[in-house]
Amino acid sequence: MVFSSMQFIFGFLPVFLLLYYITPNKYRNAILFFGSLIFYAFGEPVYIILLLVSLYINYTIGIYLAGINAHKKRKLLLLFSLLFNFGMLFGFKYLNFFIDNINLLLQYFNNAYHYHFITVPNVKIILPLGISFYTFQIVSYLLDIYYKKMKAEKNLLMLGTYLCMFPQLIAGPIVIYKDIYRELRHRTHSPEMFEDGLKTFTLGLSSKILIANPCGSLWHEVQVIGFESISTPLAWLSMFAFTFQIYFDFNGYSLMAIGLGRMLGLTIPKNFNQPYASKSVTEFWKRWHITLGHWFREYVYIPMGGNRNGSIRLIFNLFIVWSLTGFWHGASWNFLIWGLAVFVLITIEKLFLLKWLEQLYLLPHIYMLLVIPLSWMLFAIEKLSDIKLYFEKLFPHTVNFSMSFFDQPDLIKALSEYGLFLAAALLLCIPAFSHIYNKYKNKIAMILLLFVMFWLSVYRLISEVNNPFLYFRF
Amino acid sequence: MKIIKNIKKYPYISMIALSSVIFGIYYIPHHFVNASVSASIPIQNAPVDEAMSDVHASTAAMEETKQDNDPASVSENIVYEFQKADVDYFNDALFIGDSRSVGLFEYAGWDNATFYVENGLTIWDTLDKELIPLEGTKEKISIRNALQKNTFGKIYIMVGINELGRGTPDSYLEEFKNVVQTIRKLQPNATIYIEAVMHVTIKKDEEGTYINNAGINERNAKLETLADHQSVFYIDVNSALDDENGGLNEAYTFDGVHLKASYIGLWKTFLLENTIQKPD
Repeated sequence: MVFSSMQFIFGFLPVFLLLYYITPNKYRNAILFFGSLIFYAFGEPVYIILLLVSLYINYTIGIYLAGINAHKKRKLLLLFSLLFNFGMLFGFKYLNFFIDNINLLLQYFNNAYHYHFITVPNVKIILPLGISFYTFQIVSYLLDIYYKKMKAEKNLLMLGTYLCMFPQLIAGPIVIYKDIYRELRHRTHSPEMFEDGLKTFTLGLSSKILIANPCGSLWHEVQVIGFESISTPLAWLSMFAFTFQIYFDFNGYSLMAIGLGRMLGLTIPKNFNQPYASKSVTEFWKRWHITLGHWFREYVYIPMGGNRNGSIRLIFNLFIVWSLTGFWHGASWNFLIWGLAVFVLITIEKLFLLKWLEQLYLLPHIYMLLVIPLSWMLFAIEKLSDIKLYFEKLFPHTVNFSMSFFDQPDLIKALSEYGLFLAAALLLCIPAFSHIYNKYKNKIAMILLLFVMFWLSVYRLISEVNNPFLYFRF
Repeated sequence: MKIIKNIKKYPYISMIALSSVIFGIYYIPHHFVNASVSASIPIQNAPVDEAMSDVHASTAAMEETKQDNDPASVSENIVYEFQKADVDYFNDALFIGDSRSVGLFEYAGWDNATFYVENGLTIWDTLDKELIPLEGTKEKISIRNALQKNTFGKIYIMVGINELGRGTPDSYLEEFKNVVQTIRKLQPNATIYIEAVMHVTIKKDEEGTYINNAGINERNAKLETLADHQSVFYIDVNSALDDENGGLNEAYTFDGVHLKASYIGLWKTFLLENTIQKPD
């Protein structure tokens, strides 16, 4: 069940909130835990067992890890737990990718050198919902115990509530246990917080429905048409459409999560901070998917030595972190290539570019306007041959920048259909808008605006319900 | 008094809660009624005869001339064979269809033909949905209306993917028959091509939704029975687009349903190679 659905907004959420608030304070975690399991079961009735098994095993490991003093034994136990958690993630998320690629390699040898390797059949696995997120959360919990940054949680329900609470279970933000365990035990609820959370939820909902979805439609349409058949100006426009889609979609989801958390008295960390206003890729990645960046920094980059062991080692560390970040996003070569592209950009910036960028005003924004959307194309297009095709469309061999270059029927059609949404998206990327919101969010005009946005989103949702496909009907 | 004070204090919660309750009261009963209606067959039988009265005269006139020129055609069946034609064949052709035909419209480059196509079109709203923009105005007219104003020599129709989850193969056939008969009455001289619904890819098929090839084949078999091989013909583009498993070739599409623009050519070739040439 996704937050931006009728089922959630008018079904699960009101029933859950009612139960949550009529329950005395000390049983509210139980309501949250079991409610979250029901929430999860809507999308994933089978793998819920996996989630619970993972919870119980990690809970037990946590207690043992805190109880053992012998250094070697602790290390061994940690190693076992990492193997278990990442093994599960690997099995469900990456196994097929590896099988496919080994098969390709074997076939190559068979064809080229007349070997007779037998290829391994692919296994049919469905990726369990949210496994990438909850694996990272529970591993951070174990590592914090290992580094003695916190004690093990003795209350299974408490740890379960942390891992499974529905606001962040499926797509983050990645919450670190040591940041939230106090709130899980003693939290305050107030109508002010609830009202504020509801507003944040509305912002997220409308960001997803009113901005991300229309921008996504354009990107989807271009894929349906096929990259070989679009004009160069449309290729550029669609690249920006995807750039907006991914931001308003993911930020929208994170805002909904934060809002829901606040409605329950919980602080879920901020995941985005005006990323498209950044002046460098380095800065961008401090403002984009903040909780994931934080996780890699805290649990991979710094344990590897960070930037303290000379520039060769720094580059190596960055390489590892960004390969893993790329791969975390999906089991496919394009994500790895995307991660490596970010690695190259960040390395260049760290070596010399950053110093210049920080002193300039306009140029860094132009640089970002090119580099970030281009990097998203590596992210968005799965097939490598299609990536090549798309870049050839973006940068054709011969360009004649006359008026006729922009006079493309497909560009005009796309602009007339999506121009308004793209312009709105562009405006909303300007940080001033969020300042305005924060300043006036308690004023009646802003409340009315939110109210209108809420029902406009619901209206769009209903028309999408009648239409079984996310983007458009046949 | 306390409630009013709270409403003032927490306006946003109050507004959302109150409006949601009102919405729930109105939406839920309406929603359930809707769901049950769409399961049964939609009723959209506009008064065919009434709309027809305008064209009766001209129809009669045409039938007369036809008899004068070629009396044999009325009583005897001629065996027609599909032949190859060039693009000029479509000078007086009309294409009716859903988003798949929108693709044909946008990427075939057949500026000489006419397209009454729209995303999401179903056989139940083919005749009366207002989708044809009237030149120079913001108005749109229905296909029923447009067929009273303009005359076509060939009319192609492919509609059927959107309504796969709606009605039964028989109710689909009934409505299709109704549409064909109406078109026949409005355009008595046109050759009508009923196009088989294009398959989806095996991958799409295996998603297990109502969008599947078994359903498409079942309905296509019904459509085939509508052909009289004299003025109504059935053509099946799937022979040109299927892979060895009987699904739309994966390479031709991104979403498993729509042809990529660069493969529209296969459909074009098929249409050009499967025309009926009638003596003037």
